[in-house]
Amino acid sequence: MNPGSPPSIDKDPELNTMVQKPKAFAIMDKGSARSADQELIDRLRKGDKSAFREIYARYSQIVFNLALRMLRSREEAEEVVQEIFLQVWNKADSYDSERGAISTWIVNIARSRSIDKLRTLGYRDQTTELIEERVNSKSDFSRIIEDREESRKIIREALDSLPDNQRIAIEMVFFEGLTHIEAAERLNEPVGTIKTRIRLGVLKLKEKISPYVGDLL
Amino acid sequence: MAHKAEYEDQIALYSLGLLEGGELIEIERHLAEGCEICESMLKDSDTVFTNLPLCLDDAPLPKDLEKKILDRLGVREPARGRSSVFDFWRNLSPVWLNLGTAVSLAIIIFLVVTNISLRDDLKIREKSLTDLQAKLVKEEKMLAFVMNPDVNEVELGSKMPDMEAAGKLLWDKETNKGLFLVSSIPLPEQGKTYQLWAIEGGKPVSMGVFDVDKEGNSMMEIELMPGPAESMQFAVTLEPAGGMPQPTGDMYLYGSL
Repeated sequence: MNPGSPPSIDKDPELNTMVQKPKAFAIMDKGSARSADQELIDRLRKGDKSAFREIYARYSQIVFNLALRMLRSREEAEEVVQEIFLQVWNKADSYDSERGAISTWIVNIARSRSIDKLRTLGYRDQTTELIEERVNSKSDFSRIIEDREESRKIIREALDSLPDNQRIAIEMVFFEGLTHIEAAERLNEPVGTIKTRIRLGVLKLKEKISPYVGDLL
Repeated sequence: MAHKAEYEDQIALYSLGLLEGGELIEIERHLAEGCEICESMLKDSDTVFTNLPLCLDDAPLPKDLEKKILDRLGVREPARGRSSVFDFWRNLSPVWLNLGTAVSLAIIIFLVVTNISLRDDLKIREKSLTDLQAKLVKEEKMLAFVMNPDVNEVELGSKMPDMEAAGKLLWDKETNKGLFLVSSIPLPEQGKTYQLWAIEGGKPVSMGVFDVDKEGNSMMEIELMPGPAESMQFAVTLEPAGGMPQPTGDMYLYGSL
């Protein structure tokens, strides 16, 4: 959230009172969010060091957490985080705010680089696509990062609320870097079953978190 | 654009970058055609996957991580004070000169070793890049083909029980070229290969043999399709490696115009 922008306020239809959204998920309107993202990237493209530091401050912790979860090695995660931010700096031209938020772009880069690292280390042998090039989401946790504990609690509760088989399927493809085919093999289930579990899980997660990021959907 | 429920299970996988080959092309074409339901599902998936890392506990960031990245970027803080070159040399004592020489030698040795390692790394990356470029060219070719409005489609369905495999034959009647896509077909046993047949008036004509990747997907370009006929049929059979002049094995896929 911009330092000067107020938290998002919605009216509770039942109580007819003003209810403030959890601070963690207070957001800017879609237009200004995209505009702010694009402005930040424009500065980055011009070699503005302060823009890079702003992006680093926003995302380094989350990106490191994700890389560490996927790679289970601080050393490898540190190397991947360096590669991620080098890519952000060198490939800023490939980011298009009309196609999505910076957060989606960076998380995609983080997953892609982590999967590449897993492959390099021999944990798996399949190729990965450069998924970071395709971004669509209009949501952005850059505005929700101010209260990490609250956002962590909400996402974790959403994940824990899933049936085990859906949660496990999503965790395997997202955090373990497995393909759906590999997840199906490990779980000894048909590929179609895993696909359906992932779809249903994503649907439920979206329902759980949409009250907090719904303005951007 | 009509929504197709069969694509719903693919959207989250597409969001994660897990689709490849024919499945990837089909979903991208479907989205490009403007299916609002699938587009909305894709946005939901992206939102979920963007926010999912937030559930992780914060791990202490490595010391000096930002500085290391900035160093690698060649972005450095400006020097706080600047002495002249003359002052620099004047202030160096012989001890520092010796130390400087040793450090320089160490750096040179380090650079030579690093250079050898980097060359090896570069070769591996060049190979990887070449593979990726070849794959990109192939997928661009496929995309151009499937986006062509003059292309006719023939769906091939599974002829084996409990098999999810499907095939699609795209037929450009102007150029008489074809593109055959297969997904989720079982891997052929050793010494066997799949063969595509065009059947006209009950007479099968081989359209070629094809390999599949480990996920059972394949794409085969057909340079010359058989002459147009109103009742053309197509089939995929499992044959001995190299293919056969006439079908001899089990039929796995079948479809007709």
